[in-house]
Amino acid sequence: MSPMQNSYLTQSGTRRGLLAWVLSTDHKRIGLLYLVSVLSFYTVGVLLGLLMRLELLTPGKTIVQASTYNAFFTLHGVIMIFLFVIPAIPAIFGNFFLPILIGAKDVAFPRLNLLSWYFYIGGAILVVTALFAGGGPPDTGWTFYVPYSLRSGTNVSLAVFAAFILGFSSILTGLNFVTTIHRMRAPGMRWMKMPLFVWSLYATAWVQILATPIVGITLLLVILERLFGVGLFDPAKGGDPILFEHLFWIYSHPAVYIMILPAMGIITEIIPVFARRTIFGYKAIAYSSIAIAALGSLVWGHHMFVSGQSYTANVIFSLLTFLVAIPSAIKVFNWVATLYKGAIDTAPPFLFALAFIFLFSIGGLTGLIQGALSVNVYVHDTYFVVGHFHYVMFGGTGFAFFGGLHYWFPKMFGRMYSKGRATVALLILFVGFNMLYFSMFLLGLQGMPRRYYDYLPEFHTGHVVATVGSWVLVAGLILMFANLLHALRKGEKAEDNPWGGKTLEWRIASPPPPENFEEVPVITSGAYDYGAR
Amino acid sequence: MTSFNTYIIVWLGLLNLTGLTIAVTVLHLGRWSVLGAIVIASVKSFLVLNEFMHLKHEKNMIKWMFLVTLACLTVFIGLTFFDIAFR
Amino acid sequence: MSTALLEHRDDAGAKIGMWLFLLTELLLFGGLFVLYSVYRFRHPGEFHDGAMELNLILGSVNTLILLTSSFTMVLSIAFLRLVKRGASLLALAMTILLGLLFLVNKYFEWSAKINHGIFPNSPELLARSHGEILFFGLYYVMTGLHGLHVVIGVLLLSIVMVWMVRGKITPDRDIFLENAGLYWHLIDLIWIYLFPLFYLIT
Repeated sequence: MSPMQNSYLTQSGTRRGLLAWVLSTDHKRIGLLYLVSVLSFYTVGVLLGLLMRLELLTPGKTIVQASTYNAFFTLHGVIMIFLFVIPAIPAIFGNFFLPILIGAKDVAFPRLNLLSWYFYIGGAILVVTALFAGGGPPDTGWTFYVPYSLRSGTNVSLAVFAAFILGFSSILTGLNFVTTIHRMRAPGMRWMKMPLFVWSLYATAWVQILATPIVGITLLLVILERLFGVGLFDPAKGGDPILFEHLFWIYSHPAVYIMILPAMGIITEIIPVFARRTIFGYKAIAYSSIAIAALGSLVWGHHMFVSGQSYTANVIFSLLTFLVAIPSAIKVFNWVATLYKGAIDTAPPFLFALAFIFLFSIGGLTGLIQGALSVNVYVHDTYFVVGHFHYVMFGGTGFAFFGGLHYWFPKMFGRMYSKGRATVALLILFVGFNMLYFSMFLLGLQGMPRRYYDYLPEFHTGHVVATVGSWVLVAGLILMFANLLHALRKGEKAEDNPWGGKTLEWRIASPPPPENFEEVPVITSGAYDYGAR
Repeated sequence: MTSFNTYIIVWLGLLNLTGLTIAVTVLHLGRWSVLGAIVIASVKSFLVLNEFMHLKHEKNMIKWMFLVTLACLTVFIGLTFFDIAFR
Repeated sequence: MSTALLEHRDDAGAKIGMWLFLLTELLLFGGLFVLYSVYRFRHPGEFHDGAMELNLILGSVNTLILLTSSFTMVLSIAFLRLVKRGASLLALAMTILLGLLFLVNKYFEWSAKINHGIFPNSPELLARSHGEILFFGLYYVMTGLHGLHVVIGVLLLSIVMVWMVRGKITPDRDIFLENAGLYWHLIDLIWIYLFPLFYLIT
């Protein structure tokens, strides 16, 4: 049999058609289920973002009412955070490649893995229902801050419950990955021989396990407050709304690392392959993933500098925030050091990785600016913050996701896309991205508050540039996905190892056979053995 | 049959500790009673974890996982109190 | 599903998975413990007054019930290992019964409170101090969430019992029973803290 026939794409076992996909426990098929569903919701999120930018093209009303705009930014946030950025890399590439990278047949709990996807879909359906059902789409912002979220007449309970279910999905994926990494590594795959993407997934999985339950209970409490008026967050009954913010950010700040750590893992896979050099500082990168996960759990209070929490807490959280920059910077230094004297191949995945390093560095450094207490008071809840997290989440995680997609696409589907078109798409994307989000830094410094429907005339120029940037950005996205979709059907057949990678996925056929490996691989060398140069 | 004996001793120990914790409360030891209640609860939970849930026979990895979780919870409560206690 | 997957069996892995799940459960309650510690720190007197109104006898009895059910749970596993299936099933049935008994007590305890007009958002409760509103709010939420776990635990143990009768759980394939046992002990573990935190405040 040729590899194309004996692949996970065609060998579906006893079931046929769609059922062979939605009932499959093969980690690769589940990865593709996530790919299709995550990208569908990503499209919705992008459209909402586009509409928001269109509304902000002119002061006052442009296309929608203020209340609709509130619903737009809430749903854009909920969809992008819970349905795209959090699951994107772990659930898609983690599922597809984690077992292959450690030389295993599947994850530790294949059926639980499928269940996680159903939780994801269930949560997603609830989010969509919250759009259309009775009270109308929620208008609280994705943070669901009390007391407004307790009073809003919109479908807050439904949206909050959706986030709870999605949290469950995330926890189960994390639990599965930790067990898989502990139990399923091939002979010789010692901890310090694992590909660094696996290390980053391991750190991520721990954050998913330890932080997600906190937001789970917090969201349940919001529902209980709305249903029974218990009063735990209601100042009129002695409750403390700031405690909601504590509990919310105890999860949601580490969640930022759930989003960025796997992205850093992908970049760490791409850089050595296209520089043809052993990764610089393997252990430093591996341990810095753990350090980011640990330190990232101590800094949630920096979201609350102007909430009314104590000054002591402000100072402590500000100090701790600066510490997180250290392991992140270690990674950036190591990536750049790997490039030094490398034989660089400027293929699209590598260009995405470079774009990541540039955009993530801007995102990270502006994060430090806001970590400083006094500056934070000035830029808090302005477009500066919006610019910052889009640089980290989209410029960082988003670009790494696209980079990973271009890196592993030939392996996943056995076909190669047009590299020229991919490069052009990346350039357009990059230009549009910076037009859109760099304007936000300037708008923020000028004093434009986030989440406002209307604005003063002096902010007009910035908003126009940002909106035009959003059009350029979306043009880049369309070109990029069109190129990939075209390759899916018409692309030339990909080799087993088109990039010259050294990790295990490049030793098997493209697309991989259902059982991944014909015989259990025995690992004798490190993951990035390109020899000294 | 040693395991059965152990289980019975642990069970009786747990029942007695429950009695003790109630007695401590009834005695009104003031500020010490909170500490007493927490200490007794911790001894009880240690017994349940170690003997009933067989944590003592588990691999170190599971013990570490459990300790990390406790550390997390402590940090969450601890850092929150930098706000609450100084507001 | 391919046969290779069905044959794949890793009891140590299944146990790690279960422990990880228990850790998430601990942290789920952990969020509530954060709230509890803050509100008790702020309202020590009112928390004391609230605790005095709870039924110490029912609370103590329920503690003894749950501790004993943990004991019968480990007995069930130990008997199964000795290939005494009947004794194992009996101990498991006792565990389930004790769990149900706990719920019955809880029902009487809650309904007594509700009959006195003490429940979230009740006019009677809202007339009281903030500290007491918070105390009873936490009482209902935390014991409620715990009670929900007891319900789930009872269901889980019942399923395990059916599997045992049908021979799906055997002395050399007891991981389901062990993991269900771990879950049951966790419920006990949480109650060990809830009991002094709500019933024994001086």
